[in-house]
Amino acid sequence: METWIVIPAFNEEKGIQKVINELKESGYNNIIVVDDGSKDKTFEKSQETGVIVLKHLINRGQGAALKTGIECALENNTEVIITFDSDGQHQVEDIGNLILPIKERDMEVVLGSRFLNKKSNVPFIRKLFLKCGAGIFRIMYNVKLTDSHNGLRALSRKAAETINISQDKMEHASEIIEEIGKHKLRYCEVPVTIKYSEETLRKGQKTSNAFYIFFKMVINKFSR
Amino acid sequence: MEIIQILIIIFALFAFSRSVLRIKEKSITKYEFLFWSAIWVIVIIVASLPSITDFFTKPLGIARGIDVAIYISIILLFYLNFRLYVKTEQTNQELTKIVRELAKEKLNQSNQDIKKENKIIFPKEID
Repeated sequence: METWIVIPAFNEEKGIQKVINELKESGYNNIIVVDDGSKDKTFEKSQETGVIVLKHLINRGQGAALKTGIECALENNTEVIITFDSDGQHQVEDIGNLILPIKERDMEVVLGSRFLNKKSNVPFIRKLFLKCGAGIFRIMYNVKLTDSHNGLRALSRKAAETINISQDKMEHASEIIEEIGKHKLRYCEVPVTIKYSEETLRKGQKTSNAFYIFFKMVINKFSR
Repeated sequence: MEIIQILIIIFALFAFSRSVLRIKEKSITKYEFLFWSAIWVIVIIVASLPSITDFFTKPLGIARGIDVAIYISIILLFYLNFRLYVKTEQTNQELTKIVRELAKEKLNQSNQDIKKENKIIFPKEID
């Protein structure tokens, strides 16, 4: 299956080449990096690897960068789109497991879950918030998950065309779940490993951001 | 007249003059000008004659007239805040759309440049 990897990146000059090279070494050569208005050399470093690189002139957020990358992938003959983080948290080995349910079980969205195996070193507070998030998704969107806000996911072409990401910032992750429920897309979870390091925890999403995301979810629910 | 009343009136007059400037610049519509003018005129009337608010106390079941003005102000502020929120969201989404289109255009442009650079030039055919 023609698979494209979409990587939103913001100020990732140190690690972006490593992430891209690992993907290429594993045979994933269709890669789109979206530099979301980085102040460092993320764009140049990504371009050196020979993959497709799009540049947002100003920072618009991960959701906006993902949408740019997904639209670009759809313009190519993609059958599956993988969304992959640029900070090295995601493991290339997990991609195969994400594609499999689309290929063999006709799934439309496959979401990675860090709680289906015990390999991820998730900090306790984060685990608590992520589990609460999964509970809220079930209540608000009728989508049953074990994890929330996991950026490693696979979308079939149909799902990528159906899901509308209108939220520019981190709320897009909740919006994708809302869209799965709204359009009744066939979904499942597969175990993935997230490797946290001091760097990824420092640069990544703040746990306190969960309250803002919840606020936006409620606002969006009632303003649509 | 108390000093606070004078200060409120001066501020309302200043704000009204800003509305006049904006309509002259055509940066607000006629209806927006009427809306803001009405707000500032009401502020001036209530500040000059606070007792006028007593007229609303009985039908609304509120003890003091000035409380009516405060409650209405809070409701109005919430409403305007909501409108601003919606407008900001719209502007943000439009901005993102422009940034996205520019990113795609730049990519297409660089792809075309690469194609031009790699164009094979055949030697002229020999007659």
